[in-house]
Amino acid sequence: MRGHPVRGAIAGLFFGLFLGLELMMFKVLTLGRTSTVFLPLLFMVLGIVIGLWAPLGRRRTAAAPLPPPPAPPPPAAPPADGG
Amino acid sequence: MRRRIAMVAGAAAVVLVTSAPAYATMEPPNAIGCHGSATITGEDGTFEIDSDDDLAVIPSSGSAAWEGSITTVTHDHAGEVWADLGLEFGPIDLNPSIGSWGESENAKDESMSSGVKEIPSFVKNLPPLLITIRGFHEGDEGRCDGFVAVDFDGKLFGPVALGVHGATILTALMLASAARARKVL
Repeated sequence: MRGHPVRGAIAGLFFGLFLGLELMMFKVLTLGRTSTVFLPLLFMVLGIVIGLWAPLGRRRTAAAPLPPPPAPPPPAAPPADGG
Repeated sequence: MRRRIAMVAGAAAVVLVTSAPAYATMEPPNAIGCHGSATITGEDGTFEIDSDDDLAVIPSSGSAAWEGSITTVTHDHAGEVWADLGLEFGPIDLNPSIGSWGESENAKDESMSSGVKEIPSFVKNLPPLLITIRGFHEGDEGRCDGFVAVDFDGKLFGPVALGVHGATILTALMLASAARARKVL
C-alpha cells in the first residue's frame, strides 16, 4: 500500500505558495524568498513524504491465518514375514 | 516517522523565524544624501511616508504627492525601485520593477524631483500586502541604496484574496488526497 507521491509533490508545491500568500495577507510574513521559494519547496518535500507514507485510509490487516498442521506421518508398513 | 515530522516542523520554524519582516530604510553609507517622502490623501485619511520611517502604510485609494532629493548633486545618474519578492537567482532577476529613471546627464544640476500620482483604481481589489520595496540611485558622485517595508491596506475578502483562499483550500485537499493509501498490485 502507498499513496500518491507525484500528486503530493505538485499539491505541496502550490499549497506552500498559497500558504505563503495567506501568511503575507495576514501580515505574518513579508512577501519574499520565504513565501515564494522556501515554503513551496518545503511543502513539496512534505507532499512527497506523505504521498509515500500514505497514512490515510489504511485498512487494519487481519492476522495471517495459522499454517495448517503438518500431515500425520504415514502408517508404518507391517513387518515383512521373514522365512 | 515522528523524527522525520519533527525535522520538517523544525525546518519550517527556522524558515518562519528568520524571515520576520526587517524594517529599515536608507542603507549606510548614504554618501549622496538620498531622501524621499510622500503624502497620500484619500478616502481613508492622510498617510505620511518618509524614507527615514520603518514602515510605510499605504491605503487602497488616493492621490500621492511624492518628493525625492539628494544632498550631493549627481550626474550621469540612474536609479530603479522594485518589489523584492526574493525572486533573484544569480543573474536571473524576476522581481517586478516599479519604476526607473535615467540614465540622465543632469546638466541642470537638479537635486530634487517631485510629482503627484493617483493610486490606480485596480489597486482597490488587491489583498492586503506586506512587501519590501527596494531602490537605488547611482551617479558619478556616488550611490545610495534603500528599502522599506510596505503595509498595503487591501481587502481580505476582495476578489483576489478570495481566489487565494480558495486555492489554498483546494491545494490542501489535494495534499490530503495524496496521503490516501492505494493498493499496489
